[in-house]
Amino acid sequence: MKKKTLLQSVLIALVCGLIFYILGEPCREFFKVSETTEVRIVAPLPFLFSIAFGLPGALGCAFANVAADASQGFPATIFVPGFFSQVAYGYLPALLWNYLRRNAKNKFKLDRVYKVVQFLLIVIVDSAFISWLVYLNVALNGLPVSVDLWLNVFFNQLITMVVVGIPFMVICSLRYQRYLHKKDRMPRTMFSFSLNEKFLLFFLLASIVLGVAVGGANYQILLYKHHLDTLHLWNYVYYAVGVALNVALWASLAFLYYMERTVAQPVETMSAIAKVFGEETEIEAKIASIVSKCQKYVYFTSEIGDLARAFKGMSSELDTYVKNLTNVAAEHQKTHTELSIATAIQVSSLPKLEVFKRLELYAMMDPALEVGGDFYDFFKIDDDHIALLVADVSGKGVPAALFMMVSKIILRHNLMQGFSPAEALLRANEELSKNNPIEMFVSCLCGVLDLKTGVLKFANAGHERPALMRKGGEFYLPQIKSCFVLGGMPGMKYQDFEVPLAPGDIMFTYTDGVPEAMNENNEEFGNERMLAALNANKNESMENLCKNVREMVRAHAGSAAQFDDITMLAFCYKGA
Amino acid sequence: MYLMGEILLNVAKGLIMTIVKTKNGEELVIAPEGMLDTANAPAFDAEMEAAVAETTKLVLDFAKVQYISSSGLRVLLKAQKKVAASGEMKLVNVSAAVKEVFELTGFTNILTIV
Repeated sequence: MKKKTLLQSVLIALVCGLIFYILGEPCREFFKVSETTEVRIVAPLPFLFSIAFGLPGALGCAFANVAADASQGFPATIFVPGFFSQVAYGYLPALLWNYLRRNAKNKFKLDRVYKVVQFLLIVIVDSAFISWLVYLNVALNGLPVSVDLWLNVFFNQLITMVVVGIPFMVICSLRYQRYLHKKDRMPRTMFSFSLNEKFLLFFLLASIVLGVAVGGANYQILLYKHHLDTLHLWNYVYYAVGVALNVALWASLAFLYYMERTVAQPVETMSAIAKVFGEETEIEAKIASIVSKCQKYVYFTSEIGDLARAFKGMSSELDTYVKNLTNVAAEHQKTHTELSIATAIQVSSLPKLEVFKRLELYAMMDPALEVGGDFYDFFKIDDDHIALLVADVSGKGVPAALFMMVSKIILRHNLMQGFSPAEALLRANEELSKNNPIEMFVSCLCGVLDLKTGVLKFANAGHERPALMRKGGEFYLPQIKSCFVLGGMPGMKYQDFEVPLAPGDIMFTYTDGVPEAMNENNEEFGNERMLAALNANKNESMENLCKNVREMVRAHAGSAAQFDDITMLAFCYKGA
Repeated sequence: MYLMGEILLNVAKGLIMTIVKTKNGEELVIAPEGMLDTANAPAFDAEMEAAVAETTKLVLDFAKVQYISSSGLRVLLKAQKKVAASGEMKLVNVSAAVKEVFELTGFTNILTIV
């Protein structure tokens, strides 16, 4: 709350005093109980105004009381002490209440049983206090005093503080809440009572209605059946109301305390979980907060216990699930990292492009997954002979890549030893099919080119036919016999073929990823399109030749995903 | 109701692959339909494993097979190796496209294609 200026304080005191005077005056006229007292429904106002406005509230009421007493002709010995007692019984308990509510956002809110109990205790003590002050004041002025006078003041104070005080607190609480909403720009809600608060307010208001009804009924009965003086009549009414109010209130509070502990509080706590979930950013913290909130209630045997157990169980499951998910994500990350390393290893295992004498060569491999089963290879066997290889392992991914590495090493080893392509394939087949439990196989086109003579000796282990172009002619697929793939079965025979190449002749080798590339309509790229793409660029460099085919395949595939590895190796014999 | 269930089941199977199995005396005729590619190879493999265990005289009717990939070839290679020891396996009604694949990969060297 902001600090009030002096003007504001004076204004508040004036308004409070005015209200006090206007409401108090009729009581003095119509509810006069004795020479010195009357039924004062304004009795709780100093206390309530002090809670709401601080000292100016109490001072305003006290001045109004002096004014009223003076106008009635009471001597200064009555109204001067009256002024101070008025300030004391109004302001001191308000100070205590404000101190108890120092951490509350809304100090008027009676949303917990203990707050209501505090309120009632303050009211009882304060009522007893003012009763003694009035008693002493009257006695010191030499006016008649009695126990009845004391009791009259006490009950008047006590009952009005409850009957007027509690509705006053509720109204203030609502007003203040609305102010808070406005300040925080929150959506305005008419009834923002918590579950517990609703319970409490219902019982409090019911008790008040009951007390007032009992009082009304007693007043009627006492008035007509017994002829009592006003002081005693009102005292009896006060006893009846006081007893009814207290029995109803304390019984309600006992019941409400039980309800608060076993139902309202747990439900409110658990319903606040959704809010907590929004506030925390770490999922673990969120779950931990839910579990700790529910932990308090899981031992309850009631439905609340069921709810808490269910909540806690769900959170624990969620926790496990999140942990699993985190692990899976980490595992996935690890796999991803390993695969990218595998890609790097595979790429580096392919030979680097180099410039050969009498031969122009270009090769590329484009795997469908991180690693592929396709490979190409070329290397000098001796000064005059160069080995050229294109191969395709059945399947894709890591298994194919592992099989590809083994095949590549064996084939290179065999060819380096000087075996002819057919002999190299035969030996590789024996080696690969020896221990091959999962029936993987590799198709391979393997050739050795004599750079001096231009004679290409090659053998085919179940691979796609190469495209050949004689200088000045067109690309075509020569009919050559295919032997069995490598690794499938031992004891297979392979055959060498010899093709003499003239300077300017081009051979284009590839894997099935080229002709079998599919588009969205499941149409293959096909040999015709491949040959057309080759012929369109037959006078280009080997690099442009391959890149153009790759581009045409990409254009054909469109939005369809690359399904198989795409590998090409093209070379042009340049002559001696 | 039963008939409808049967039809639905066949439709559902059609989304993957239909494999018709007929017993012809000693012979067991297996007739796969559609594409023998990576997606369908496991189903074909399971069927072939069962068939190889069941009989020594296996006939593969490839009349309705339009395409075979390396995964399909692997299944044939596996079956052929198992059968080679004790029985025989032959392929009939092989289409030109599939036959070309067999020739290209050298599978004609190990399979009995009639």
